Amino acid sequence: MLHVMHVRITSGMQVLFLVIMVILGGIAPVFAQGGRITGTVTDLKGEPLPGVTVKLAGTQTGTVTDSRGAFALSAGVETGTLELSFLGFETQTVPFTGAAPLNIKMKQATANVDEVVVVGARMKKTDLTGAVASVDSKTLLERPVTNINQALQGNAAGVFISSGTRPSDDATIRIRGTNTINAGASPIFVVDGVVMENNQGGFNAVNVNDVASVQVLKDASATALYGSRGANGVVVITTKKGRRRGGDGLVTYDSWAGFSSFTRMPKTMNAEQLAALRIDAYANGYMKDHPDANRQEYIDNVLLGSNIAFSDQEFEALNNKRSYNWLDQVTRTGFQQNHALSFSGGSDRGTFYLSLGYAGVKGVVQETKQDKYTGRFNAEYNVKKWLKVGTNTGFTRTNDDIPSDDVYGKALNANPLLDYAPYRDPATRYAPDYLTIYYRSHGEQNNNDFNPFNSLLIQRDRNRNRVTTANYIDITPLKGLDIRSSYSLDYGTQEWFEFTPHNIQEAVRHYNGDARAKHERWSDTYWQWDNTITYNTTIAYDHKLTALVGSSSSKRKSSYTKAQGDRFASDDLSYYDLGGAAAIDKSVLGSDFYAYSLLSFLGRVNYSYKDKYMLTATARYDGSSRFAEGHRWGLFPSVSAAWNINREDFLKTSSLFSQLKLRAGYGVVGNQDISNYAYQTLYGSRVDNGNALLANDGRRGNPDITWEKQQQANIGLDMGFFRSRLNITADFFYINNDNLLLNRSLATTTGYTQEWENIGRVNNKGMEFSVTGDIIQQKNLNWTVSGNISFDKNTVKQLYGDATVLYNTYENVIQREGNIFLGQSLHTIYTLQSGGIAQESNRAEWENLNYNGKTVSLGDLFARDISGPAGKPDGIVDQYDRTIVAKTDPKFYGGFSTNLSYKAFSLNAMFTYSYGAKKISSYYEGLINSIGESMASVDLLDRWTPENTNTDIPRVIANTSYNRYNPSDLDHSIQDASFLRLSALTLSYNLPEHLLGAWKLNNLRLYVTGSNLFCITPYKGMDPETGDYGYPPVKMFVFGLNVGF
Amino acid sequence: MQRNIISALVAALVLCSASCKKFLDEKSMTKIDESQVYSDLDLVETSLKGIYANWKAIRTDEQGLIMMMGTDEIQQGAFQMKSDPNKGGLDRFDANLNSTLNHIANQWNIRWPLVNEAAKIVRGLDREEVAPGTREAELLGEASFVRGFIDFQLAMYWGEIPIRDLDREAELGFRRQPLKDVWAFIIADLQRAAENCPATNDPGRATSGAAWAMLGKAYMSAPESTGLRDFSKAAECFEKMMGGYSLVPYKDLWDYNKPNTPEVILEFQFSPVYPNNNKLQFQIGSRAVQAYFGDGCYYSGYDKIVPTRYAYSSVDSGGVWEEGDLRREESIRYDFTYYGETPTLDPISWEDLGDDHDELLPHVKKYEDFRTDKHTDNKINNMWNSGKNIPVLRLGDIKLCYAECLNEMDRTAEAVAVVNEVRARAWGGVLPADKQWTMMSREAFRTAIMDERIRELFAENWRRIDLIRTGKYVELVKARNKWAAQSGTIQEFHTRLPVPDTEMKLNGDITPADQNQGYQ
Repeated sequence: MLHVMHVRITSGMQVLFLVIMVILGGIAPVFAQGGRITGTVTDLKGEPLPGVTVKLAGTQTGTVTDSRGAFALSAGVETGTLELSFLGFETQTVPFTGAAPLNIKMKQATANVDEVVVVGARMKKTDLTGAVASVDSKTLLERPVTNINQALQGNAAGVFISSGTRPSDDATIRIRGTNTINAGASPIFVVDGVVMENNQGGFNAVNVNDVASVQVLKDASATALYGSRGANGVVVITTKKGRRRGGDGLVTYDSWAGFSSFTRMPKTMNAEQLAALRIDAYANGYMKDHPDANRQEYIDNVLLGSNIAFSDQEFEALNNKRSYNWLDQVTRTGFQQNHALSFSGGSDRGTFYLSLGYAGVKGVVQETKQDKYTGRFNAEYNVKKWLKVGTNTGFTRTNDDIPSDDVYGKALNANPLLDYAPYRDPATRYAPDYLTIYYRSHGEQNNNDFNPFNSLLIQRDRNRNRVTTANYIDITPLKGLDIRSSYSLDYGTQEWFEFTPHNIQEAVRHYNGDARAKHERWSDTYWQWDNTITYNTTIAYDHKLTALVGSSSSKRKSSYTKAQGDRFASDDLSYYDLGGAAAIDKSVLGSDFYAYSLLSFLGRVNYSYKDKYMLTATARYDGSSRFAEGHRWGLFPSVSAAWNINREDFLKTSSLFSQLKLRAGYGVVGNQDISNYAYQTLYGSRVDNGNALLANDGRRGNPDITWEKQQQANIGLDMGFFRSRLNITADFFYINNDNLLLNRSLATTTGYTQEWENIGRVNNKGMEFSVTGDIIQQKNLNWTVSGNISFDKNTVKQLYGDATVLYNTYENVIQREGNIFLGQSLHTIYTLQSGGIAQESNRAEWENLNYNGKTVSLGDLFARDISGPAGKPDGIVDQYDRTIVAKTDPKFYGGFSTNLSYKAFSLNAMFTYSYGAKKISSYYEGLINSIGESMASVDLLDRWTPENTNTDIPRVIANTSYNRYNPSDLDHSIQDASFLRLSALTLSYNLPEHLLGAWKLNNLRLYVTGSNLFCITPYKGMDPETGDYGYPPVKMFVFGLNVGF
Repeated sequence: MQRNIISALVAALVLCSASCKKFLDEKSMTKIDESQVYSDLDLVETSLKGIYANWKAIRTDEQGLIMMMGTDEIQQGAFQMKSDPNKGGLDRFDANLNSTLNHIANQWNIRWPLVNEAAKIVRGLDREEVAPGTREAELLGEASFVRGFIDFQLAMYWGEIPIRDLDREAELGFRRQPLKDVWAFIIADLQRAAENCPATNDPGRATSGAAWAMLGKAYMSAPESTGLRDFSKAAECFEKMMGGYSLVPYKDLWDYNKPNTPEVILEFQFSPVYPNNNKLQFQIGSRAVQAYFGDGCYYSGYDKIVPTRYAYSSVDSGGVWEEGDLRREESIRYDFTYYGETPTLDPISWEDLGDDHDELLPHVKKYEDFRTDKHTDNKINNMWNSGKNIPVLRLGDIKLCYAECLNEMDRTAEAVAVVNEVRARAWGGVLPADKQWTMMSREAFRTAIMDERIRELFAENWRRIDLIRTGKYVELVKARNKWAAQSGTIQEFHTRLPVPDTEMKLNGDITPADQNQGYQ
């Protein structure tokens, strides 16, 4: 018995790749007698299933099983396919030829994804008319992941995920690229109807094992009901429910455990290479100041004969031919495990689902640890025929031990010429010489180069608790009328405790040699109250109408407290006794409070005719407290339609299409995701010599700001061919985002540094395709391939007035990223263009330019003179010559997977890719800027020297005043961030069904997964996807088990 | 029953609608709205004090030293010049001194918010019915003082600047205004300040005396082209306030046990506890001392600025110092011996110091703060916490300014007498006969007074302004600043700083064509 794991494609219609179940012993010789089909339906254990819908595929002919699970159907044809569906069981198709009685066994579903709850109103997925991508629990569980974002990665078209790099980090997610400038660009997450934000690890805290399905709503008509916050898409998470049927419930246990280690570290120089680099740089510096000197003599006598370039410690490593890898000393093989146990069941009156979970991470960097405990209780009960109540309640507790960032950061960049032994030895590690690491010698610049072994002694503990509960009452006073009220509460707290002992450099440097203890607490309370009245009716059999009116109000209140003290009786007290802080005048207290609220009124009408034509119209009227009175309210209408073409008579008989649905939608969605109180000009406390003063905080309040409005149009096509063996979904979108909310830098002559404004327009257009094909569909051998690809392109169409550019300044400097240019992508890199290496051969290009203070000689990089104050080259390379050298948007991105199964085994490979994005790699820039006094890239082995001129790596120069162009000053080292990654490769074994029945199991799956096994990319930094911040990507091998009974 | 449910829901909706407005009212809880600040005189005063607190940042940390660099009395340390060629432009006057230099943009950007905040108070209070002597008038006076003082600096350093008269914002925009208008505006501010500021005030706040002193400086400093320079008016201003102050022993000015002496007209208030420290010593102490004795030695630091040879040498070595001048030892540290131990360059010799090394040459002493030393019981042990008060305006300076005016008014004999009062204090109260100034020509006085100002006001941030207003900037810097002399590239246009590139990029009213000549 073969079970093909199905893969979901992105479509409003949601076609399942149906599980083909060949019933052992159930296939009898073919009879052709009047086309009457009979059979019985049971579960895997043989218990009869009453009430199962049995339908002849492609027709309206159907029936329901009786109390013994039996059915009989007049088919009129001799061969065909039956479709069996029953809530709580996996839908299946059973081919029949002839009229032998069929014995069909149905399998309990671990997920039920037919319904979407949208602001309190349930909708069948097939009725959706907007652009929606779905992922069900099976797909989610195919890979060992601990959060929803990771699970979505590569699985949904138009969804771009960057995972966090440290266990304590959260992943970021973008739907259809970025439409906004700097209002929030993250979608909202709706868990069982509760809108959650990602603060304090919000949606990452949901146990993936509890998730029944994830829907990504991408266009305006789909997100319309979340209007006020739907501008960046909506991720709807539905957790698992019990099954509404008698008999036994289901127990499942899912578990995996595995090992992880860093992968793909950029290659850096060893001790010997680095020493050679430094010698070269120093000799070049010396020759610049003493052109007639003897270079080799200087190297031999001065550089190698004194401590100008190398300390004695460095000489020792050099002479012993040792090279020290510090990072290896603070890292280890990581270990991760995940366990989830769930119980579910139900009766006529109600259902329940209870789960408990644990996920543990022992990180690759020493002292990194995370323990996550989750629990969930979902229940629904029909108190009366007309009254239903229910709850979806979950909690998460996450405890993190987070080492100081300096452990990894300083070890990563530590000098390979430095022996780490005395830095680690308890006898010497606190001696002044070993508090800091260095290159060349201890000096001013080493004050912040903390000994990473000592940094391990800093304690940083974070605890997060979160309870999310959605409770509803559902009244059906009349047939077709549904009144629903739901009250949800999302309460989260976070604690941060930190202790720095007194005898390490962090304390010596920053806290006058005192130990420091810090406590921080955050508390977040969010409530949401939704009320809806829905009326459902069918007129004259063919006209189905659903109308909904409702209101939604919500409020978030947050508070924060900080207390910090210095100087304690003993480091052993750690952060536990803040009252023992003796340095009272250095104590720090802090707090913050904020609140915001949203109020919405909404209405929606769904109409469908013969399930062929469907129309949805929605209107919302939203108010946000983030705007001043008079600018608070926005009206957001949307309309969409769908046409099931394959249900038209002219296609009814066609065997080509199993589905052909055309969708079109248009709508306006709002964005108000900006900082709170941006409409106010504020004066905050300024403490000075014991006086309590007020001072402006630099932000000019703008009382006129209001909703950012995105007009989104979407056209989509869902196609199923050859009895759904090939499914294609295509979506095309066009978004004009007006009144963009922008946090603009102001000239300080205004008295302020920044202000939120509604500015201009950004256009975003794109297309998304996803394809799934069952290439081989045989009894024992199945092969399914699926893939998705997304293209999106944004263009700034208008800024304020006739401005053509908005500059992003930070600390008086125009940044490379974050500037906004009319007619360009939002995401550009703006810097000087490299002319390459100054060589004899191109002397005319570089020699006579004025570099505004920079020096260019043979072997140096030079910048191009592109423009000037008059808009044309002026012989001076300065700020007028900075141009847009790249954009950071990918040209296209997506994922694809292949799933090959033979008998009980299956092999699944999941790839993600992105093409065409450019990225600044700060890590690589540091490596390539090196002059031998910091970690250096092996690319510098090919640096320019008088003997090696045919290169694009500049020469190095040091120990003199020489203002060269570093590679990072130019576009020289901007990286191509295209990549193809094998994000997961899974080999699994499903216990065959005859054994399952014998062992009274519902399912049993064993698997082994390798994550992030390779990544093909030209990117020279850490990771083309996550960039260089945090930790490098890890590779993980995992063994897992899923069992249900 | 069903009807009841529906009615209840409808009622709930109606109720909710009624409270909608209130439901969506969210105001900052941790900060106060501007409208509230300006509707309450107490809060206006509290925010005015906030301006003073932020104003001190101009004299704090590295940014407090930038305007001292590139003069004839102070230059950057050798290691700084070697390791940061961009900032080196401030002393070398090479192409690195351009509109993208972060340090210059910072000097511009830290001043304008203060000007604007003061302008808000002036706009709110500058009404005809504000009677002199009232609290409103006093606050108006103080705000006018702050705006006038900072605009004075901005106009000295950059030339034409925008005028932030908020009642005329629509008309004036954010353009650079003609020098004559700018200086008229500065003088009007300081005049209003002089008339309205209280005669006495909390330490660190403006008084009428401070305002008269600044008004006098403005009349001395307004470019001649504006027609506003007027030494007799300046002298009158000084005469109005000098009587309220008296010279104190010079060392008392730098004694943290004697803050706000009777000589002080305006003094920025600091303490050696973060965030009230000024961090100056961290920047200007000796790096060799730091490497030898560590951060716990109160005169260690990082050589960000050092005296020029001219400013630390005695007259017979081609410098300014005369025998017996007590100001010398208070101003400049020559001896780095610390509790019997004399540091050497050994711990930093690996830096390949070269011929220009100056780590153990004389350093600025005025900002040393012994309270941060490891030999005290303060447990501070780090000179980064240095936090002595910094005099901004004091009588010694004003007396010399007054003498300058007298000289320009052809009353040189009186001018000499005033200078001798200042010099007498420098010699402990009794000026030896051979140190007395005697009658000299007006031109000779002009030259001599510039040296006297170094001796009296060394490293007190007035030198750049003195050089600019007397037209001696380029000549004297080129001759006395080591790096400017080495490079030889200083030109007349360097008297002004470039308008920052970021300002031009963010302010539509200042275009590259409006850039100061030479920096375009």
